[in-house]
Amino acid sequence: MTTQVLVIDDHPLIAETLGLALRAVGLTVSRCPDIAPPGIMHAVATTAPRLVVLDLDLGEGRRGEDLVSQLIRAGADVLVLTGSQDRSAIGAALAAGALGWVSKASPFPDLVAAAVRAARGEAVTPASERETLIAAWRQADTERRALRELLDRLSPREREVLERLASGHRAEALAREFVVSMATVRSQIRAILLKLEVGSQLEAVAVAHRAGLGERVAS
Amino acid sequence: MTTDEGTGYRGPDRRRERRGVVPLPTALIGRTLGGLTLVVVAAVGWLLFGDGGEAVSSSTSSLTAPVITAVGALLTLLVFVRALMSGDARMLRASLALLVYTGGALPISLAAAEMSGPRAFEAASFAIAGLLAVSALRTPDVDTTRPIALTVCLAFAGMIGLGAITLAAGASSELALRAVYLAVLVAGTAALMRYAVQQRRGALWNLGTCLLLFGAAQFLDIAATPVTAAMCAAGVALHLAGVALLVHTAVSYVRCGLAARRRGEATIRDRCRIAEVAIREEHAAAAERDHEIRNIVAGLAGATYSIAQLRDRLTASDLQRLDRAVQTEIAVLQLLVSPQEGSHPHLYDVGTTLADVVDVQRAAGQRITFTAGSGLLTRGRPAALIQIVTNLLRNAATHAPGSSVHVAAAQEGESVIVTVTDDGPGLGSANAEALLERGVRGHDAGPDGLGLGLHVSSQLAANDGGSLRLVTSDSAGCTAILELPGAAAVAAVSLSAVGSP
Repeated sequence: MTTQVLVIDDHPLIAETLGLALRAVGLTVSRCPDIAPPGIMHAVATTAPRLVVLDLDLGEGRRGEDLVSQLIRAGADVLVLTGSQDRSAIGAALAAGALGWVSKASPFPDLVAAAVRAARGEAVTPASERETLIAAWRQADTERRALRELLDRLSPREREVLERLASGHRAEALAREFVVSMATVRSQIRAILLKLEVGSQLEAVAVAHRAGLGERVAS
Repeated sequence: MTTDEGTGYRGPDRRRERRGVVPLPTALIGRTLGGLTLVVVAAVGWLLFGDGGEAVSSSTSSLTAPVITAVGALLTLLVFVRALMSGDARMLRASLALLVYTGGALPISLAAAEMSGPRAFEAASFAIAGLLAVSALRTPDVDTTRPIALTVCLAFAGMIGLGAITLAAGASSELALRAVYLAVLVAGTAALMRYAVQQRRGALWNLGTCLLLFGAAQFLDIAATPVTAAMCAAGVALHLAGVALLVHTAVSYVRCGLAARRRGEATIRDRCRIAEVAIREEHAAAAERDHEIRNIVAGLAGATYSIAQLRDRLTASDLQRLDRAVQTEIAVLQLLVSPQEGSHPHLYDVGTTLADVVDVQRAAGQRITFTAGSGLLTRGRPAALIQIVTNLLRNAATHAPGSSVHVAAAQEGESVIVTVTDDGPGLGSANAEALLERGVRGHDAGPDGLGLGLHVSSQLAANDGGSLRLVTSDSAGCTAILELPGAAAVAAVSLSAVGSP
């Protein structure tokens, strides 16, 4: 007997109860034992599910939306399950071909009903909402791209400096780390502000955060 | 060590030190060059105005006097404003003394030279300049200059007395009065300079030198009662040298002020940014907490749904899995709500706490052997230890069903080591470290495996200053090693914390 639904969620209780509820309506369900991307793809390859119920936040900065197109290529439909308010992440998953999405905040029976519909291959999210979400993602993506282009103007060293500024390091600490004088660090910061077309360090840090720079350094 | 923190000016040699240039010879060369420049300026003044001795009636009434007055007053004003901005009381009064001299005493004595009236105003302005120079020493911030200030005050009182006696004697009163107050000016300036040299404050030193040069010029003016050309020229030369020094002082003092201001602003910008990043991280942490809580709420909603709607269809193993999942979420929730608490950390006996856990799990049907030394003390929360060991025992029951588990606790150096060993299949190829990460599970873990259990346990251990690691042997079995800080180590840490200021 092949698995019809594979549940991928780093929260065991949701995965467990959703599994129980879907089994109760006659579906075969398995939980993905490993929520790291290689583990997920391995589970999909071995169980060949019809539907993957995918949590967008898999912990440790792993993002579910990045996996959607891979899962679809592996022959599964994807239903996105999310507790997050980030509409652009949902839009990204839908744009990558997910069948629809359901919020973890919705009543549990609705959640089960959505999974059942998705398992039958039916649409879960209305077309209009789908378009709105994808548009939100496109806009966020365009903005992110523009910001990344802005960041591409920076030299490698300036990028490093900005990353550290964005993760809250003191300018003195930077001077010590790179073994340069404070004057050098200050002039590097001035160059960064000039290239990013902003007037202050605060704005530069905001640009870095919106572009997703320094997330790794900060964590 | 100096008291002008925030004014930024520490003399030319200090700045060079900061730039990393060898300080002493450079400073010496700078001083020598500066002195030579002053001598050259003075010589030029001498040559220009010393020749036509007859044409110059008084050193201050020549062409140079208005220039000295105007330039001097302007520059002194600049220094004054800069001192006002940085709140440097000494520089403020010293520059005020110079201002009174260049903008008051000099023009008045110019005007007084034209007519033959009483020269009380002139004397008064000299006196005020002198008093200000003295008062620059009497500003509140320094105790170390008290002896100097006292000396100056005594000298001042002595000279006032001398002036009074001279006046009473009635001998060429205006001139005597002027001479007395000039002496005050010179004495004040000298004391100021001594202070400046002691405190290594270049700007104050320079300003004092200016006052001294001007005072000397005036002294020549008075001393030369039959006015000679040489005396006049010397006066002009001294005045010119004073103004040259004033130019240098004003420019470098203001420049340093601006640089200090820029540095200050950069520091403030830095602090703003760091605060902003901290707020951002706080927001991110709050969002993460919200997210976790939403997930847990959704899970609990699912659990109640399962119990209410699917009760009849749930098998024993379903219920067991549900129970484990709920337990795990509750543990996560506990960590979220009070990451440092649960109960207050206190000194407790690891052995007796473990014995309780083992008893409970034995009662639940697990085969456990248990050995522990006596007096194994640690500081932390017993609830955390109970949670960790319970998690480990449950994991052993899941992954090595029916196997016997050995729990041991022993002192090892400054730590208390708790080991939970099963004789099951071991970890296989799984990365022992990765198993402690949130949501990662071993290769053979069924759908009821507890990825979060190990992560939570590891977090709990870390919160109490301990650590958790997994070791597997080739033969069989898996050992979880929990290291807790021993009471001795804890005592040492708290002692050093008390000892540090």
